[in-house]
Amino acid sequence: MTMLLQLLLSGFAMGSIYALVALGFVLLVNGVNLINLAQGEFVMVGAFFAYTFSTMLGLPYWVTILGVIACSALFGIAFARIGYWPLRNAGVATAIIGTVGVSVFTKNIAMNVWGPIPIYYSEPFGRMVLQVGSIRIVPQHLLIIGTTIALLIAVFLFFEKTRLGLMMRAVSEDKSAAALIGIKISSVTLLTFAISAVFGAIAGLLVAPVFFITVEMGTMVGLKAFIASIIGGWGSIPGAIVGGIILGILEVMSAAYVSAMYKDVFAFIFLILMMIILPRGIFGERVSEKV
Amino acid sequence: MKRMGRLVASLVGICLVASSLAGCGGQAPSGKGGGGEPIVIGLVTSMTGGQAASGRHVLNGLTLAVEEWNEKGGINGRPIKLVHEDDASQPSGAVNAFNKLMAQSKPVAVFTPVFSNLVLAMEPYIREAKIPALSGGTNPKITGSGNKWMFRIKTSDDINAKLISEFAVKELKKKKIAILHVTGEYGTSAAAATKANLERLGVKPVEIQSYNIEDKEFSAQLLKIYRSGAELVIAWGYPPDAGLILTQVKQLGLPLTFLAGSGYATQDALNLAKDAANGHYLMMDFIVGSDPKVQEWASKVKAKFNTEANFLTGTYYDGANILFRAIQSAGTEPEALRQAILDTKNYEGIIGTYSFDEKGDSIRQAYFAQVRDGKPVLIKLYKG
Repeated sequence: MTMLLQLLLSGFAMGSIYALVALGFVLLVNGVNLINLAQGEFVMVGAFFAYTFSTMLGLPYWVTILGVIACSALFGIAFARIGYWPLRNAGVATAIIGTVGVSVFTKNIAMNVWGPIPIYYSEPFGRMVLQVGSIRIVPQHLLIIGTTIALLIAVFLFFEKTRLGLMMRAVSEDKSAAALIGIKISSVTLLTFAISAVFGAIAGLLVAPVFFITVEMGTMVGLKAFIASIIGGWGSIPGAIVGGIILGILEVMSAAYVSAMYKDVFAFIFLILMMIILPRGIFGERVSEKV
Repeated sequence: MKRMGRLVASLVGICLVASSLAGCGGQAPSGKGGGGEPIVIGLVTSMTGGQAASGRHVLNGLTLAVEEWNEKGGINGRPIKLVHEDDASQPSGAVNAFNKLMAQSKPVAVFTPVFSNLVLAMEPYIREAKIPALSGGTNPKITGSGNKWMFRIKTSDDINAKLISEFAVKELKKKKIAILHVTGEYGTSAAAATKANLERLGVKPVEIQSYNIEDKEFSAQLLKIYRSGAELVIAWGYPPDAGLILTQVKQLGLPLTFLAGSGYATQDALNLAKDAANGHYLMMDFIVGSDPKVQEWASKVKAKFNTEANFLTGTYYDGANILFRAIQSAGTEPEALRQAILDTKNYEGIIGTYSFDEKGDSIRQAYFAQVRDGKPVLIKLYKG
C-alpha cells in the first residue's frame, strides 16, 4: 500500500511536469496554430537561465524568477521573429520543420555557452524531504503541482475573459478575418510566443532540481508534453493537464508492475489506443471542423 | 514556386547553421612541434548530443598528450597534429565522422569514442581502413570481434563484471545482491556479465531492474529493489542518471547501498549526487591517490582545462602516450605500427599498467573506493 501511494505520488509529480510543459505547447497550438517541436528547449533554456542567475550571479530566488521570465520572453520573441515569422505563410509542415531547426540550433548554442557537463541545481528548497506517515514527499514536487494548477487557472481566465486572450484565439482561428477586424497579427503572434516561452522556462526553473540541468533535458519532456496534449485533446488546456498527469502515472505504474524497460512502449501504445478510441482526446471538441 | 524556393532556402540555411555548429571538426593547437611533415592522429568523439560531457574529457586527455609531445619536439622531429571529428553521440554520426577523417585528414591511427555502440558501428570501417584504432569502449565485443586493428585501452566489461562481483561477495561479504542497469549495449551486457559472475560465486541476484537512458524517474525500480530485500545494489549507468538515482534513493529514504561502476564513479556524478553519494561503493578506473606523478598530472589537467581530470582524460592520455611511443619506435607504416602497439608491455601510465594481449586488450584492473564526505576513498586495487 505504501509502495502504491509512493508510486502514485511520483507519477503525479512527473505528470505535473509534463502538464506544465504541455501548457506552453498548447498555447502555441491555440494561439498560432503551430506544433512547436522546440517546446522542450524552452524548458532547457529556462533551467540554464535559472542557473545563470542564482548560481553564477548569486542572486536571490525571486530575482532569478524575474530574470528567467524576462530572458525567456525575449527568447520567445526572437524565436518568433527568426524561426517562425518568415515561414508563417509557407504551410503548416514548413513551420513545424522550422521549429526543429530552432531546437537543434538552441541546443548547440546552449552547449557552447553553458557546456555539456550536467549541472546541479537545488533552489529553492535544497534537498529537503517531508515525511508524511510512511510516505516521503519532495517539496519541489508540491511546488510543481501548485504552479501547474495556478498557471492552468491563469491561462483559462486569460483566454476566456481578457480581450487579448480573445484576440489570440481569433488570430488562431482565422488570420485574415482577424486582420480585417483590426487585430495586429504580428504583435499577437510575438506575444503568444513570449508567453509560451515563459511557461516553458518556468517549467525549466521548477524541474531543474528534479532533473538536473543538461542540454538534453528538454528533449524528453518536450516529446512527452506533445503526447500529453494529444491524449488530453488537441488544443485543450485542461486536456493538456489531464493528459500529462495520466501519462506520468501510467509510466511509473507500468515500470513498477509490468516492465521498466518497456514503459515508453506502454506510453505509446496508450497514445495509439487513445487515438483509435477517442481521436479527439479526452477534452477534445466533439464538433467537426468547418470545411 | 516562389514559396517552394523560400522553403528550400530556409531549410538549407537551417541545415548550414546547424551543421556548422553540430558537425564541425576541429584542430587542437599543435604546440611547437618539430620541423618535418606532421603526423596526423584522428579522434572521433562526442562533442554534441547526450554524451558530449564525456567527449570533452576524451579530447582534453588527447590534447594534453599531443601538446606535451610537441613541446619535446614531436615524434622523431615531426610534430603531431590531432584532428577531431564530432560523432553527435550517435552510431551513424561516428561512422560519418570516421569516414570524413579518413577521406580528408588521412590519419596514421585513430582514437574511437568511449561509447561501445558507437565503437561497434565504426568497427567494420576500421577493419577496412587498416589503421590502428585505440578505443576506450568497454564492451567485450570491441576486441572480441577478431579485428586485428582494434586496441582497447580500458578495462573491458567482462573483467569489470568479474571484479565487481568478487568485491561484492568476497570483500563486502554480501549475499543478497540486486542489479540496476541502463538499457542499451553497455548496460545490458554489463548486467548480464555481472549476473553470470555472481552466480559463479554462488550468489543469485535477488532482483534485476533496468531503465532507459533519458529516464528521470526511478522510484518504481528502486522500490522494487528495496522490497526484494537486497543488501547491495550493483549498478551500471551514465553520470547524469547515476546522480539522479542516488539522489532519489536518499529522497525515498531507502536503506540501499550501491556498488557501482564507470558512470557513477565520475566527478560529474558525484557533483550531482552530493551528500546522497556518501556511503556507497564505487568501482573506479582511476583515482587520484597518493602517487605524486598522478597528483601532478591531475593538477595540470585542472589548470589547463578548468575541469577535474577523470578516468577518460587519463585513459586517452595514456592511450596517446602508448601510440606515440609506438610511432617513435616503428614509424607510421600501419602493419609495423600495429605490431609496435601490440608489443607494448608493462607501460606505466596514469591509470595503471598496460600490457597488450593478442586480442588487443591491455589493462585489467579496478580501484574500489567508498564515498566519504563526497569524496571517494580508496579501499583496494583489484587486478583481474
